[in-house]
Amino acid sequence: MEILQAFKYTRKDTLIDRLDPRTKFIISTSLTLTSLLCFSITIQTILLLITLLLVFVSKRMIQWIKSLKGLTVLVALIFILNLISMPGFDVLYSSIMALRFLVITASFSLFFLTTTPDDLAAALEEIKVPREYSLLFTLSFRFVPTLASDVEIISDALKSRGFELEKGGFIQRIKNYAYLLIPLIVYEIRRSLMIAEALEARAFGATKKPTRITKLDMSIYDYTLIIIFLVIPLILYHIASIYP
Amino acid sequence: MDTPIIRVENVHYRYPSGIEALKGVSLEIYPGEFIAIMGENGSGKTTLIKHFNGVLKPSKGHVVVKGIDTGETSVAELSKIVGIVFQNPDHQLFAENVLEEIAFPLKNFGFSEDFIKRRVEWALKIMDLEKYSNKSPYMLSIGERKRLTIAAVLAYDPEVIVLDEPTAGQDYLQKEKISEIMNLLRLAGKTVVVVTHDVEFVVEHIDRVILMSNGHIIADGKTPEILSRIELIRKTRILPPQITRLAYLLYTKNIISTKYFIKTDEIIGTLLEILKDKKEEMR
Repeated sequence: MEILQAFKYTRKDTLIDRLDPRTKFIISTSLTLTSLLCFSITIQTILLLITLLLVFVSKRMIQWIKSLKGLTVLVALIFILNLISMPGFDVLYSSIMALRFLVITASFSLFFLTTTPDDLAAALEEIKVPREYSLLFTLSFRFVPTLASDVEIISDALKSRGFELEKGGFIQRIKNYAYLLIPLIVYEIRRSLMIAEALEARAFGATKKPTRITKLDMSIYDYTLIIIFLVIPLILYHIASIYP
Repeated sequence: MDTPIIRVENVHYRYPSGIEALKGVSLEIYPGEFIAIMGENGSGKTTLIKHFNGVLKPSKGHVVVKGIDTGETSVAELSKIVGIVFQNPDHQLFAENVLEEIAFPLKNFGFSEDFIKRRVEWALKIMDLEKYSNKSPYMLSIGERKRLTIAAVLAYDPEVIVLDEPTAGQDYLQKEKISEIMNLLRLAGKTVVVVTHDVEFVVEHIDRVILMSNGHIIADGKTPEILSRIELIRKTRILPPQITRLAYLLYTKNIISTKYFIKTDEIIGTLLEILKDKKEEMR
């Protein structure tokens, strides 16, 4: 569950938090796109450093490092799979792929760590996403902590009946998790049906354009950062094409 | 006095989120006791019972079950002694059918096939679930699912049985069934710990009440002693039994001389005597 920590919003008041969600989205997308377009270890490292700098400015370094605990397994898996599946045992190639994964997760965890679900919904509606879908988005975020606590309760219940989740080899452990997933899925489906009913009972969808409480507005910082993060990929892409 | 079956020594527990749910709890539970842990939501009741089988390990302090420190043993090992029935059945059921559900812990503990079969049959019978044995647990009603979770624990016969909110959301008939189980457990000489808000249930079945508030134990004593202290139990946001409230009212109106009543038949006796006296006077 440590991975989820990287995407859980916590309230803080930093420069990054005060940015418009659209700006943050552009920053994260810009970092991700550059990472996908440039195939160079230097560029990937620079991107990771820029992202971490932003994470540092937003004062969420500890949270990000904590989430690394869960991410390292995936990073290692990406590295190893690339290493054995690509011809010629290409360490450089595998490292780039692993770094790319880190850049993408870090840039989007920056976005999710610093954006309230409400802001997110407002931003989505601002770019004309229908309310049904923006609500889908905010609701799923609202449920991340709930899901995490459900996982905990279910695994406690399993353990209390003498079941050892962490026992056995790799394959056995994956099988063990089926015991956890069945009640979890059934429970969450039931819960979502209940929420759907509750939403309808409270007149969800009665008007096409409901009143919004949070209003978005861009400041000078937003415009500056948007320009910076539109220029950075161009520069990096240019460098990458000159020095591959 | 006997040696306690569960000993909780100055236990503190802090969740990874930073919330301190237990702030120095000490408590001894003796074999054969029927205990209720009561308190407002978030007072630490569920956190405390999760320490009894080691699902949670104390951040500070010790929990000792039958001489075994929970910090040094696996949950599986302790679960043989302490069986916990969690509040929400939907968090616990996963097997294909009711039979499998009950057999699951027995298989985990490595009992023989023959033994498992006998125990499962017994548990089904006692919980009145025989007719559902091949049904999916998810097809049962909420009351039946609750009973199934209890059956799944009773089947492997732990010495201590912990029930988290057994009567919440149950209708009268289901409550009656749970009452029957309580009587049965008493006959079997089990130790029972119940987390509940249901005072009427406590009055009927429980010998000792532990009141919790804000991560502390604020009172621990015999049921009548604790439940008739209206101010105290109001503090933990529990509604006193109706009889206690009636007694309190009669006491403040100077009709009866003591306010410590929790059972209907006790107060009936007192009231009848008063009425008889009045009748005499009127003659």
